[in-house]
Amino acid sequence: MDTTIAIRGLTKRYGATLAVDDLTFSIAGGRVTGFVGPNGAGKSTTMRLILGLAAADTGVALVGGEPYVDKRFPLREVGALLDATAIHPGRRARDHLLWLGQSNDIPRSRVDEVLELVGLSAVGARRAGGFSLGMTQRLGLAAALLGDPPILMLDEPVNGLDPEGIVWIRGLLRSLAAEGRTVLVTSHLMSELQGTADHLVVIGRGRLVADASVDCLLASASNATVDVRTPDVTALMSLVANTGASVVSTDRDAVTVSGLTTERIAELASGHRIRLYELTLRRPTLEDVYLELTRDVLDHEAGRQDRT
Amino acid sequence: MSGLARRGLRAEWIKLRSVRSTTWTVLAIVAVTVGVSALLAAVGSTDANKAGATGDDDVVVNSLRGIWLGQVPMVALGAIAMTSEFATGTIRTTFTALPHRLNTLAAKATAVAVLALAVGSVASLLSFLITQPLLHGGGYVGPAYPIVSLTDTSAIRAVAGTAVYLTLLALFATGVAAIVRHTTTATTLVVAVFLAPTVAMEFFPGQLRELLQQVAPTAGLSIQITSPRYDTPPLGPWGGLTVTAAWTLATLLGAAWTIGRRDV
Amino acid sequence: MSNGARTITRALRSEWTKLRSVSSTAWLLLTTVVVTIGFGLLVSSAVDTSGGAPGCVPGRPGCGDEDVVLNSLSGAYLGQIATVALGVLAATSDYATGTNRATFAAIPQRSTVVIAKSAVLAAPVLATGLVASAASFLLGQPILHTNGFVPEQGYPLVSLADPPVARAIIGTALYLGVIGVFGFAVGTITRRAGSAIAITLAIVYAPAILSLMLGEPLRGWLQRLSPMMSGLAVQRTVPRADSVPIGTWAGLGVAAAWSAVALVTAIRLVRRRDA
Repeated sequence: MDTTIAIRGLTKRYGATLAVDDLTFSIAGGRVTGFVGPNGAGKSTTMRLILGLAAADTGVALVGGEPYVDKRFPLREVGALLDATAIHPGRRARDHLLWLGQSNDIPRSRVDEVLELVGLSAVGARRAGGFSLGMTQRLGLAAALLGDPPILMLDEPVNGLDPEGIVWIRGLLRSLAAEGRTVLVTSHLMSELQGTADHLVVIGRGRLVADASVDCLLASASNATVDVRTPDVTALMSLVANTGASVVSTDRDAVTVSGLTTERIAELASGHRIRLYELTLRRPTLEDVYLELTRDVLDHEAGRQDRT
Repeated sequence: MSGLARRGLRAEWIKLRSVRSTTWTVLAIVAVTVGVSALLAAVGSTDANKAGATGDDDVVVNSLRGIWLGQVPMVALGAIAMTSEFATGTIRTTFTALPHRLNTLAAKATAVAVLALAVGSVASLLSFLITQPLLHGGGYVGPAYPIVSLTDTSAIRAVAGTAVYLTLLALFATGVAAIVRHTTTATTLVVAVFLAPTVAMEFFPGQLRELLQQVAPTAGLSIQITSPRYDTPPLGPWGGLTVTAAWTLATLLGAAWTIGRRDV
Repeated sequence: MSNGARTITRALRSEWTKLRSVSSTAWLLLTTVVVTIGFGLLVSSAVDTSGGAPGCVPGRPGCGDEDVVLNSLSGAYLGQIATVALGVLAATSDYATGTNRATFAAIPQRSTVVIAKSAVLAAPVLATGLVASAASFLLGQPILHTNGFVPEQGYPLVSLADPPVARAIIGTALYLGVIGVFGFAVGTITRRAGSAIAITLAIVYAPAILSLMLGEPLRGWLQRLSPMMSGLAVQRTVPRADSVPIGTWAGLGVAAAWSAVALVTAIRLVRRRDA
């Protein structure tokens, strides 16, 4: 079964704002794809366009080879979590899942199954208004999983979860992807995606900024740097400078070196009797990659701070 | 006015102004009141002069009849000013920012009252002015119907009093909204209380009906009466307005009592 | 089964679950019943037989012309407020809570969803309306008799078996269903409970208030076009000078027309708007 999400030339304008601008990408199955971008980049709008909730001005969005709105039992093919808090507070959790299931002829037994899966079995009879943020999030997840769909689209699934929950969901997403499902996840926390996502689609101001695997992005990022702590700062700095690599002083007794491996620095130091107290390799994180990619497409930016 | 009160009033005024529905309701109040008054005046006519008798229509009342429907958006104004806080959760911000809950209610009520009075005055005044020529055209002229001008005491009382009535109505709605905290419930209750009885009371026989009309919240509309008639309530124009004021006071006191007690 | 039939079944099932799983539904249905019966009894106790002389001949001058059936069913004039509120909430709570997105993601065929929503709303309203009307009538009769509405005064005894009475009771229930759907349609159009309630109640009550201020022929036209005044003409069993000038079922048809137009408009808007 085709489990791809394919978008071609998707455009959506709200008044004067171009929320989505000629977006084209495909999300394949068998892996976790992160869908990221700064606030207001158009992630939620894109997801709503894919689900047929909003109408695109131009372009096409196909899920499993056809438009979402043509599907007879959409919840059995696509499980979406757009806004976990979009639940009537006076409705019991079980009733919420029940009506969703009934809308797509999903057996009643699935309701208890997914409640069990997300750990909400004990509170199924409670009204959603009494749920904490984490519980609400889990309920939204349960709703997405109700139809056992091969495609999952989750908007900020880790929002509100405690550390244990975050570990749990990371495992869940990876296992779902390992089963061959298509998993699309948006997130603000790059640190979360680093351990979870295999592929990244980055958008900014409605436009595609990057569409590549995480490994590829990390590889293409600025080289790793090495943080060194030594009492012989001046000596080390001139030594490193002589090799052609760059070095920056970051503290009274610390420097950051780019262009040399830790082994090389250690060899140099020992060869010149320079004492090393700390030698740490700083690999580029996904967050670094992301910030670099989206630097030019930020709409709302807090005051820049020196990153030392 | 104390510094705290002044800050509270400013905060409430800014909130009221920035809620988008405020613009719509204000426009609706004026449009509906003036429009319906004008419509009724345009289609009404009298033969009093031809018959050579004095008619018993109250020209001033006839010029302000649109108020019956203008009540509906006015209720919305008063209710939404209060319930938009609960719906969007800003009430928590309000109460954290201004720890004195009663002061907040007072500030909110004041902001609503000022706005309602302003809009009500405009609606009332325009109603009167626009309908006069229409009524004259329909035969409401001397000697059966002496021309009424805005400078006559009775007209001033009616027009200003109508604005006050509308303000009381808006405050009634704010009070109810503060107690029930739910837009639908509040709007339903207040519109029901102000509109439905007029219709429902038609079912009751004459004396009972008159009694009910005098104690209903809509009794305040008697402020518009300028000429005594067979159906003039014994309480008189000011008595009626006092009844409406009493209803409003009751709900505001109820709101003050619940707002001080409940968790937010 | 065709694609369409299955979808409507699923939509009916899920929308019914949604409606019955919020407490406001039961409360508003109960309120409708209580207010309808309560006000009906109030009116039944308050009316008197002014005009009827003992031993007069029904239908002839000298006999009273109160419509005992209509009077006992007059509670609907107030009870409908709760029905309108129920209809409005059935439409707006999905928008207020954001559930509308999940709904249209579950069933992308939006017109089917709206129709299902109005159907699951109408059914319980009709049922409770029937109960409320029948109870109002049955409980009101003894009171009216005590007040003097007896055959000797020109008021023959009536019972549920009489066709006009059955028509009045069923018609009242149908009216409540129609007005509930009207509120639902307005709520779907405005998406806001406050404005929907205000607009619907204004449309329902304004003509009645205005007709107190108008003369003929405008008054007659206004009443004929008004959803409530025409709609509740179905309760009439005694023609009177102040009766709404429209046939009993034709009147209900006017109310139904208001509802239908509003519902069609709502469906078109729902299909066109972004969720």
